[in-house]
Formats: sequence, structure tokens, C-alpha cells
Amino acid sequence: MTAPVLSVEDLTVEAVDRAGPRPLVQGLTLEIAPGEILGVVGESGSGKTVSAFAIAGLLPPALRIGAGAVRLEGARIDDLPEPRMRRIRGGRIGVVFQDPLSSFNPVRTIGSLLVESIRRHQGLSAKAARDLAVERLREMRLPGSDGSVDAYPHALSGGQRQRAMIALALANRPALLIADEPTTALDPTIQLQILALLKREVQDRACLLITHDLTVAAAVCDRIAVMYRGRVVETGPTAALLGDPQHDFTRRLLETAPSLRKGAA
Amino acid sequence: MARLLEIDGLEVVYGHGRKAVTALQGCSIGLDRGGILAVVGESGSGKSSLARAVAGLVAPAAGRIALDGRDLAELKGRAGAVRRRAIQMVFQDPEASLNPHHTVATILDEPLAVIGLGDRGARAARVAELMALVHLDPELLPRRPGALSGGQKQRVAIARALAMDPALLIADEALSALDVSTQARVAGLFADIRDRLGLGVLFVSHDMRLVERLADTVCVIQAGKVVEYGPADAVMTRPQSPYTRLLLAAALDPAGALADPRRLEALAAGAPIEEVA
Repeated sequence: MTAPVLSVEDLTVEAVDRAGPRPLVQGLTLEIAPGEILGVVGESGSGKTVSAFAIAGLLPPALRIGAGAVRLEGARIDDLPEPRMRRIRGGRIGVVFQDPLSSFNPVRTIGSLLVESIRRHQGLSAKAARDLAVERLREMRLPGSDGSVDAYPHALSGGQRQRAMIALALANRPALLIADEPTTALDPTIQLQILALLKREVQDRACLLITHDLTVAAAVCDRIAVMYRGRVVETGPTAALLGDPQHDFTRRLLETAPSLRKGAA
Repeated sequence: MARLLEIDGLEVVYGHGRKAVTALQGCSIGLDRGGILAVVGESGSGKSSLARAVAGLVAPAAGRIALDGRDLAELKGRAGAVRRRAIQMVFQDPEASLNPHHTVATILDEPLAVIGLGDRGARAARVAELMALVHLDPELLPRRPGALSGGQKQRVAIARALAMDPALLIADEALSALDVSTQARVAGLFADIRDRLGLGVLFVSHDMRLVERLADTVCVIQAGKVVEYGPADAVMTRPQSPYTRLLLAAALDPAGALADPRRLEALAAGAPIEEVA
């Protein structure tokens, strides 16, 4: 068996306030192999986004990892100091968020963000970095012969912004792509394009897809883990999980997705 | 008897002269009491313009909107204001539509005081009735919106709309900000209210799954025009318009749409879904 790109062992994430630590995620254990998309499905408050942030080293100050380990390509990353983690994020780990308009700096062009990331992680010259940025944007099919490299975020449509965000996340060919609700803000037909793009771009990387939408997870994921109240309550290959859900919460999710029920029957 | 809502040749235009943008044109649809009419479309399709025109928030550039056979444009003055109360709206984001400094009790009492309904005692009784109608515990009355869950907040917004005893309730993406299982419960509430109060619901949504569960009539809008209009069963199972078919495939069965590698490649490359299917 190939070594997993990401392995998370018994991870606990807790909120620390005056009342003391309060667990938000408990006993999270998962592995993602190269070329595999793992979907983590749950509702708001289930701990799915907190888990993704913990893995990417993006926890806000009020939250901390209480126990467990996160390994990327075999090496522990959960105990790294922030400067080293910053080299990994954007380098070995790419992150895509739900709403690119609020996650992009509005006064910077798409290209300048890409150039900065490429130079920081690959040490290229400004000229070479810009050429690579244009190439990456064109791979994502952004409009124009220069892939909209000089466009500001607000000038792009929702779908184009998400393509730019994916270009940024993949700029340095990461081993792990974390996508947190990447299509939730998009119309269904654009959502379908972005899901197709994610599936195409996974190639030999590992992808962690966070979504509240079981239909979205079913469309692209090889395996699905269902989170409920801070714990993974059920996990398995997509077809098996949809065909024979074990947990009540998974069954309830399935009830809201008629086409999946039909497919499973 | 006239239909509850009758829209004929409605056109909504924003701006003037060369900068004018037509958001909706030639829209003719209707809704009866006790019915749920879903208006489906993507961002920018004009579905919210339709809802806003019916709610009286934008003036139609052309066409007629009638409630119980009376043209809304002819409703003027005090009598018009009273008549307009029969149309109430619930918005997408209860966070933004509920005053964070007011308690639930105040939020529900205010519209009753505005229309001059009885004394304090009578209004408190009506508030209690409204809370029961949306299945909220009366213990929540002293709370402020910040202390409520998303689903509870949206129930308060619905209760406030019902305070005016409307004949027509417009829900503009009213469930979009909620979790899937909360969505299902609040959707159930709309159906329940429709059954109990016999009002008509204009349900604006981009979510085909909710529409499938809730609506008895569906109107699909693309680029400002109605491309499909009919009974929900027929629209969902035998859509006539190619655009409706695409919307259904994209929303209800993305796995199927992505199953073919060539189609996946084309979609990833940004081909419009119309050209790929």
C-alpha cells in the first residue's frame, strides 16, 4: 500500500476560554492516499471546518490542538512553529475557501498574489514567477491570453474567482489540497464546473474536501467521513456509505438528497 | 374568483437610458391560495427582481401584478397600505433582518403595535399565538437574536411576517443560509403554515432539492425570461426546457454529470454546461 499523504491520528481540538478547555473535535483519525479525495461531511458546528483549519495550522488563537498528531508525507506538522508552517502552507498544502471574494485582498491583483506565493516557495525571479503565474491561470481557464493575471478579484465572476483561488492553492504543486466548501457560494451549473476542475486537478495529490452537501461529496469523493458533534460517526468508500448508511445522522442527510437515495436503491 | 396572485407581462428594469438593465421581461405567472409557487433560477436570473416587484420594493417597468384581482399599482393611500399588508416577505439572512438589540417579544410586538392591534394584553396573546404557529418555545421571548440558532432566528422572521395575517408570503432564499437538516424542518414549517392558514407562498430559491420537496408549481427563470412554468411534478420529472434539464442534472445528480471523463474534462475547462450535455 502507498504511504498516505496525510495522516491524522486521534486529533482533539479544543476551545480555551475562562471556563477551561472545551472539545470541538474529538478523536479524529483519517488518512488520505495520493490521488484520493476524502470528503468530510457535516453541518455547521460539527467540527469539520475546525478540523481542516487544525490540519492546515490555521486555528484562531482561541482554539488549540489538545492531543493527537497530524503527519504530512510522513513528517509531523502539528507541532511546528508558525514560520515553518507558513512555508508548508502554500507550498506542500494548498487551501481553497468558500468565498473567494472575502478571502482575496481586494486591492491586489490575482497575479500579484500568485507571483508572491511562487517566489516565496520556489525562489524564482519576478519574471519567471509571472510567466508561471500566467501559465497556472491559463490552466484554470481564466479568460484572456494572460489568464486575467492583472485582474482584481471584484472584476471576476464567482466561478472565475474560485478558479483563481484554486490556481493559487495549486501554484506550488502541493501534496495536499484542502478545500473548505469550495462550491457552496456558487450556482449549480458553475458548481459542477468547479467540482470537475477539482477532480481533474487532484491527480496524484491528496484532497480533503469539506462540505455540508452530501450530493457534492458523492459527486467527487472516493471516500466520505461523516462528522457529527465533533466526531466522525461513519466513514467508508462513497458507494458503500451511501448504499448502506449506518448512522442515523447519515440517513437523515440522505433523506435530503433524493437523487442519492435513488442511486443507492 | 380571482386568483390570489396574478402576474401578467411583468417587466423590471434598473437604471435609465443607455445604462438601463432589463432584469425581468414578459413574466406571466399566477398563484392560488394554499399553493406554493417556486421561482427557480441562478444568480442574476431575475428571480429576486420578481419577488421584489411583487413585494412592492421595486416598481414594474411594464405589466400588471394583481392581488385578489386588484392591481397593486392602483393601491394608494391608507387603504392601499392596509391592502399591501396582505403581502409579507421573509429574507435570506435573519442575522441582517432582525434587530440584534431587540428581544424576540419586541420584534413580534412591534408590527402589531404599528397596525394598532388592541392593548398590551391582546398583543401579548397574539405574540404567543405566533410563537406557537412557528413552533417556538415561549421561553425564547426574552432572548435577543444573538442567543438563537439560525433556524430559530428564521422562525422568528416567519412569525413576524405572519403577524400581519398575510394572504401571500414571499420567501426569498429564506432557507439558503440554514443547515440541511434545519432547512428540512423550516421547509416543513412553510408547508404546515400553508396548510393551516391557507395562504399562498411564493418560494424563491436556487435549490432544486427544496423546490422538489415543497412546491406544487414551478417557474424557471433564465436571463430574465420564464423558460418553464408548470406543475412541479411535470417540471421535475419531464422538464420541457433544455435549461431546466441542465439545472436539474447539475443540482440533483452532479455525480451522474461528472461520470463521463470527456464531459468532466470539458466542464473543468470551463465549457458552459449547455454545450457539454
